[in-house]
Order: sequence, then structure tokens, then C-alpha cells
Amino acid sequence: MNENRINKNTNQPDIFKNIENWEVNRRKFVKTLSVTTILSQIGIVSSCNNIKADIYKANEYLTALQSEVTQKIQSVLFPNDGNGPSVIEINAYAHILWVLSDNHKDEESKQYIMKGMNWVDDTSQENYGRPFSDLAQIEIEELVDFMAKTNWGSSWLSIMLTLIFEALSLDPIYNINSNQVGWKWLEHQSGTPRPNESNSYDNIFTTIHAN
Amino acid sequence: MQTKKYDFCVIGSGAGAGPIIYEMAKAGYSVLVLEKGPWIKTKDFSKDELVSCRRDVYTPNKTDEFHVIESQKNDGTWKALATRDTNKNYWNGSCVGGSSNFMSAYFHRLKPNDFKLLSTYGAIEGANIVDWPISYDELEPFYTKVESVIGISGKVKQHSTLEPRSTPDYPYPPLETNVVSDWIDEAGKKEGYTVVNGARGIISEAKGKRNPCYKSNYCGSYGCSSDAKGSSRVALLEEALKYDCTIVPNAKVFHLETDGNNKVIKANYHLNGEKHYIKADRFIVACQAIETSRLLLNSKNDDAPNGLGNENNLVGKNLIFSAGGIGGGNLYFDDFSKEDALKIKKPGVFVNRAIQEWYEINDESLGGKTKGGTIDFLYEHSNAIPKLARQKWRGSRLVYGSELKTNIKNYFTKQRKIKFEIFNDWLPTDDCFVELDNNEVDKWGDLVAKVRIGYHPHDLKVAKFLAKKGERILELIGAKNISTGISGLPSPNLVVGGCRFGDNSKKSVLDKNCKVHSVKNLYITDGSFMPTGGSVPHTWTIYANSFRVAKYLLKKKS
Repeated sequence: MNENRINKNTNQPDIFKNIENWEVNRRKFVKTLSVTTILSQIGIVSSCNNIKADIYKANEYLTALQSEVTQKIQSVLFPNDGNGPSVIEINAYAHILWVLSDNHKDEESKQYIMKGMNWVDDTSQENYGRPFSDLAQIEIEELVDFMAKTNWGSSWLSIMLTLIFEALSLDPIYNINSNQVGWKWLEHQSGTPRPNESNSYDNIFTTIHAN
Repeated sequence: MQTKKYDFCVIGSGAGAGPIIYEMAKAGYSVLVLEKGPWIKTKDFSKDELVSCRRDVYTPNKTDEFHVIESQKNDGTWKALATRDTNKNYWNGSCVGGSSNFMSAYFHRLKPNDFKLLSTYGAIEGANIVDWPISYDELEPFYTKVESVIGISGKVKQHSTLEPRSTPDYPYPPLETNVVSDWIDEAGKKEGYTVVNGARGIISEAKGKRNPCYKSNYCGSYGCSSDAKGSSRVALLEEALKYDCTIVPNAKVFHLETDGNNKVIKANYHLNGEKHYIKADRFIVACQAIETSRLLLNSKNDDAPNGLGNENNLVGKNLIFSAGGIGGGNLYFDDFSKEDALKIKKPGVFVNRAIQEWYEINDESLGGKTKGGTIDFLYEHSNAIPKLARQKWRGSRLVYGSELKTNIKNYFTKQRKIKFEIFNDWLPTDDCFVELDNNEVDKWGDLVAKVRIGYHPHDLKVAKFLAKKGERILELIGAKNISTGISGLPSPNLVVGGCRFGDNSKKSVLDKNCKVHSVKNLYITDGSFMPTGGSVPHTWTIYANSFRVAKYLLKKKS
């Protein structure tokens, strides 16, 4: 279990270091994005109470393994324990795909997110001699616990948590925080007016940055 | 390419530019405004945390436009990093109306001693403190004008450092406050002083087409959807547009051209991928302090090889931020009666209380009489994600799983965080300045600003002194886990100086009317003129000074 044996010495990009100020810099929803792919993914994730193996499909942004790692790790970080919504209810996985879809986002930050997904499988191989896909739930939880005690692991998991927080508390217009489930749980009062179609992220960005 | 020659060309459209544009247009002069950013209208604003805070929608893409920031390392050397590569952002709302669209609008006047810091409190080694070339009395009528034209709400209350006023009270009644405001008043009384009713640049009653504050609870960093907030855009530019005033958004001025006889004849700018220029009789620059100095330095020519107005190498020097810090504590609902807990939770209403009892400090620990500052009280911003992010760590331990969810639930539903912000003088020093980075250019190929952000250690001593006073009030109102963070890191949204005004043309960039000493028709009307920054947020003073310069220009023109 020597963390040095795995090449995870990639520094967290500077942009992540102050997480409260971290901005994914999602310039606009990518034109090249296969929207239907994303929407179908969101639909599957949203409609399942239990994540099934067949939803861990490769897509435009993640391999099947990365997809599985992401969803299972999210469920450990923010479990469905009866206290508040689950990651499925807030569409946390779809939110990550959305973030990765931004081709205006600096590659370093996106690569960091995806590298971390690979580190999870590397660590599984090193600690258990098996791929992540073969781990039992208790082993996944042990793995997260192990990672959280390392610098490289806690940095990456921290970013994953921030992305969950976004899915939990940003406006439902973005297909997250479904039915305001996060706001209701936290008794959070959003400001008014809430974003509408014309001034939500994609359109206001286009309006403002047209030149 | 423009052929019309305007009476005034104004570069920038925020708080420093708005009063000039408004007054000149109303007086019948032709005014052309060149604004680097887009024109965001009121209907475009919402209270969307993704747009306003999580993504930099209202500021330029930092790959295209960035700053280079020089910070001091522990060994005393300076390290330069481009904001393109860090999480820092030194843009403050690059759009029509500037950062006044996104201000929290905590409005305070400077006090008479702020205009004569050197002669009142004496020199401090390592600080370039000077007196202003004007007095408080000269600016007072314009503070008053801002109250009515921009729209300031509040209630004047006598207190030990209340500045002289020519009117008894603000034109708009105070915004509704939370119960905690009353408790802060009482706590101040117990400590033997009067707490200040904080004024806001937010109207509480309708003003023309502007609707009063509707208590959305999201002011700072957000555009206002009722136009209650007194941004330059809604309070000044919309009126100016009724006259001979044209605003050109997305027009980035990169060079001011002179005629070889110390007179600016053209502003050269980029628009839609092409270069243009405009001619005018007078040019006003108000791009916010860093960009204003950058433009003057980038406007070098054969007659001004170091940049316009920079014969004495003073352009960009003595940049000032606001020193201080932030403190806070938790009001746990279980510590209060059910009735009081409900009152604490009441959203949408303000705190609007400040302490100015120690605007001047006389304490041996600080070497006797010295300049102090302001402590503003406020509730934690309503944004959800900073509150969530704060629950992730306990020291160096990452918190996740059910423990995290429990902490989050408790933080959101069992307490409310009350905070204070300290404002004290950021002393001007040789280690805080703007220059050009000769190795970095923006998307147009223009050299970017390099900003050194050194601070004077005296700033921290004063801030720590004030922090104790703020913490004491929080104790008295029943807050727990009280703490304060004081540091020498600047708040990029509170930046002035760089082109200080003064009577001596060898020691200042601008004369007392904010005209560049060495250029016949070039004026700087943003916060760049300030040789010292005072111990309050700068916006009201910037507005007031711009109205003062406008009056001078009108008199000169007539």
C-alpha cells in the first residue's frame, strides 16, 4: 500500500487549490457534444434506484471503467443514507460529464479529473490485486478511506465532492438538483429571479461573449 | 473608422466614468463611451450561482486577458504568476457599468482626516503617505449629490466619528434589517459607544424607472434585477443616453495618440477584430486602477517614451487595495428562543451595521494616535456552494460520506453565520504598483499589466486591533466559534491609486482636477487618483470625485 509505487505525483492544478474559488470555467456547452448521448445517460442514471453494471458504458468523455469509478466513488462520498438526496437524485454523474464536455475548459483541469479516475483503478490493483470493477462495496469504501488519507487522493476526492455540491445546489434548470431536492433538504432559499432559458448559463454566456 | 469628432471620449463606464458621462451629456456635449466589455442588460441578470460565482461569465476569459501578479515569497524575493494559470481573478466586472453592477454597495464617506493623513498622523517608515490636494469640505457637496443621484438609503445617527454633512439625512429610508442589527446596537451600547447605521447604495423606494430593493438576498457578485442597486449603468448611463451620448461596448482601447504637443487627439481601439480610432476634444480614462495605468503605459510614443503622464515614472506607482480581513461566528438557533431563532433566520433583510469608533485609534500598542478603520457587519452570503465547501475539511482531514451529510445539514439548518469585514488603510508603498509585463500580451497583442501586491506590516497591526473589537460584539450577541482572518493579501475588487493626484507635478501624475499634469486634455476619473485610500470601501468616493471633476469640466467648457 505504498502510494509512491503508483505514479500519482501529478500536482493538483493551481486552479483547484482554493476550492471555494475554483471555477470550472465552462465557457459554453460544447457544440461538438453529443447531446443525445449525454441526455440518454442522464435519463438512465435518473431512472435507476440502484446503479446497474450495464450503465457503466463508455461515452464521449469517459471509458467504461472511468464511468464506473466515478459513479461508485460518488456514492461513497455522498451516500444514500436516508439523510438528504442521493447522488442519483441530484444527477451528480451527469454533471461531471457536463463539466468534462466543456472544450473551453483548460485541458489540465479536465485531465486531472480523469487521471484521478485512473488512479482509483491503479490503487485497487495495488491494494487488492484486482481491478476496481471486481471490488465489493466494503472494499470500495476501504479504498476511498485509503485515498482520503493521502495527499493525492484527498485532493482529487475533494474536487469530486465540489462537483457533487454543484449538482446538489445549483439551479435545477441545469438538470441537476432535480425538483429542488437539494434546496429542500438544506432549507436553502434561492434568489429570485431564477435563471430562465434566455439568461441561463449557455445563452447568457453566448450573449456576453459574442465578441 | 470614425470621422466625427466628439466633445468627450470616455474610456470605461463604471463608477469613475458614469458621472462624467451623465453630466456632460446632460449639458449638451457629445459623448462617446468606449467600453471594453459587453453590454449586459437588467433582464440578463438572474440569481444563478453558476453564472455569477462559479463560472467567470461576467469577466473576460483569463486565457485571452489576464494579469501577472507578483507576490512576495518567504525569502523576500518576488514571484510572478499569470492569473491565466491560477485561481486568482483581478477583473471586477468588465462590462457596461463596470464593477458597480456587482458591488455589495456598502457605502461610507471618507472622513476629514483621510484627506490629510500625513499631517494628522505623521509619516510611517516605508509608506508613501501624503495629504490630498483637496479637503473633505471640497468633496462634501458631491458626496451629497451621490446620495440623491445614485440613490443611497440609510439613517444618519450621531456617533463619535460622524463626518460633517450638509444635509440631515439620506434621501432614502433605511433598508429593512434583521433582529441581529438591534442586538449589535445594544452590544455597542454595553461597550460604551454608538454603532453606525450602515448606508447602502441601494434604493428602498422607487426612483424613476428604478424599482426599490425587493430583498432577494443576493447582492454582492450579482447584478440587480430591480435596478435598486446604484450601478453606473442604471443610475447614470441610462439617463445620459437620452442625450448626445453613444456607448460602444466590446471596444478595447489600446493606445492614446498625441499630437506631439502634449495633447491627445485619438483613442485607438479594437472592435470586432479591427482597429478603429476616435477623435475628441477631451479624453477621460476610467478603466479601474490597474487597467488605467496599463493604458497610459501602453500609450508610449516618441514624445512620451515612458508612457503618457509618466515623465517622473509615477504612473502605476502607489497602487492601493483595502487592508483588513474578515471575522465571523455562528449563531446557533438552539442558543436562542424559538421566536428569536425565526427572526435570525429571516432571509432577505440586511444587517447594515458598522463600527467606526476606532476610525482613529489612540493606543500604546500601536504607538499612540494612528489611523484606524471601519468594521462592517453582515450575514454570510447566501451562496450555497461556499457553505458546502467549508464542510469538506476538518483540519487536514477530508470529510465525506454520512459524516459530511450530517455536517452539511446542520450548517444549513441549525445556525446562521454572522460576519464582519474590516476596512483599514492599505498604506501606499514602493512594493505595490502596476507596470507592463514585457513578455506577456493579451489576445489583441497588447502588453498586459504586471501587479506587485506588497503590503505594509502596519496594515496588519491595525486590522488585528480592529478585529478584537468586532469579535467582542459577536461574543455579546451570542455567537460561537468566533474567529478572524487577517492577511496582507489584497481584495482585487477594492483597488485604487496608481495615478495619484497632487499639487506638485514632480510627485504626482494628476493635478487636483484629475487632469494629467503633462497632457492638456487627458483626465483620469476612476479611483486611480487616490493617494491614500481611506478606511472604507472606495465606491462612494469614486462617484463623488467624478462628479467633482465633471463640475470642473463644465465650468472650464462654459
